[in-house]
Amino acid sequence: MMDDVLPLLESEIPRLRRYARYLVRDVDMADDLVQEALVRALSNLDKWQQGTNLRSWLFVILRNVYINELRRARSHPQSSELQPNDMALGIQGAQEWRQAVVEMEKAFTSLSSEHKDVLYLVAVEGLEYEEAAVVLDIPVGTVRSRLSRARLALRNLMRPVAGEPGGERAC
Amino acid sequence: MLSSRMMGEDSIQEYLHGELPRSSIATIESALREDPGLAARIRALQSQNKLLQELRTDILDEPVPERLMSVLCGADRAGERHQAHPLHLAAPPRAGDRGRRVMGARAILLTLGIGIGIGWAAHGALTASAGSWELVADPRCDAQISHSLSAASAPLCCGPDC
Repeated sequence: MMDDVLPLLESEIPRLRRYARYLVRDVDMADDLVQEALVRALSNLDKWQQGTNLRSWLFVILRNVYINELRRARSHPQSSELQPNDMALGIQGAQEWRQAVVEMEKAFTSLSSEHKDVLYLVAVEGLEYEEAAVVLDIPVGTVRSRLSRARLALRNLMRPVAGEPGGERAC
Repeated sequence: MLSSRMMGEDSIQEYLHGELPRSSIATIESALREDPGLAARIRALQSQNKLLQELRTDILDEPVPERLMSVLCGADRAGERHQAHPLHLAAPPRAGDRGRRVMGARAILLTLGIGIGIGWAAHGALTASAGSWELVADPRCDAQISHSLSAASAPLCCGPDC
């Protein structure tokens, strides 16, 4: 089983790193979380059911590691490594697509954390509603309703692009 | 029959995510044939999805730090498992027949020839190939495909020659 799964785990590392950087700003801290998550995943491989979503399973582990670190850091308030990340990045280039992505990043950043959490797992990482519910430890109905409100909030923040309902993009 | 005008954003969203019950899929796909406004709303949601999936892709392109690879390589070489806290994880939900529902959604959009990619293609700044723009974005399906490829590929490269 190990031989089959190790390449699968390897292929998930970049997305684990991105989720960790969504959770914390500090790059080294993010990789610390991923490292611990990988160690735990290897120790608990027998609990992963082949055929189910490995990414979702790994995200549950990563988030648990993160929450444990939060609890530990609360007892050591001087630690600033666990600042959440705003996911903003200055994109170079004049192409309209990249401009739209920059605008999406800004809009996403301005959402509430509850909205961002569900939108990230479902729309960015492709988890099912039920899987996101497990990762976030909330009911599926809450995932559904938060997703709906998150998308609406995004739509209100983003200017319509030419060709879409809502009119021409203001330049 | 549910009027397409009454079809809420939630239903459209669930359809795109492959979360709609089988019984409702026929309804929405029938409405798609008749209502260009509905197709436009779906395009808007897909555009939003595509932009969301671009968030911090730069991180995905970064080389994996050595210390993370070494966790896997250690397990690979020694065939032993690291000691860590045992986890009490709930069993993940089954994939069920979601895959078939999502494939159905893709098929109908291709059949209808909805110009989902056309609006974006006109701007000439796509990062994906033209073909993929005609499909409902579903990173899960892509991930499953890449998993299959990974499993069939060479074992982890864990030495100085990597």
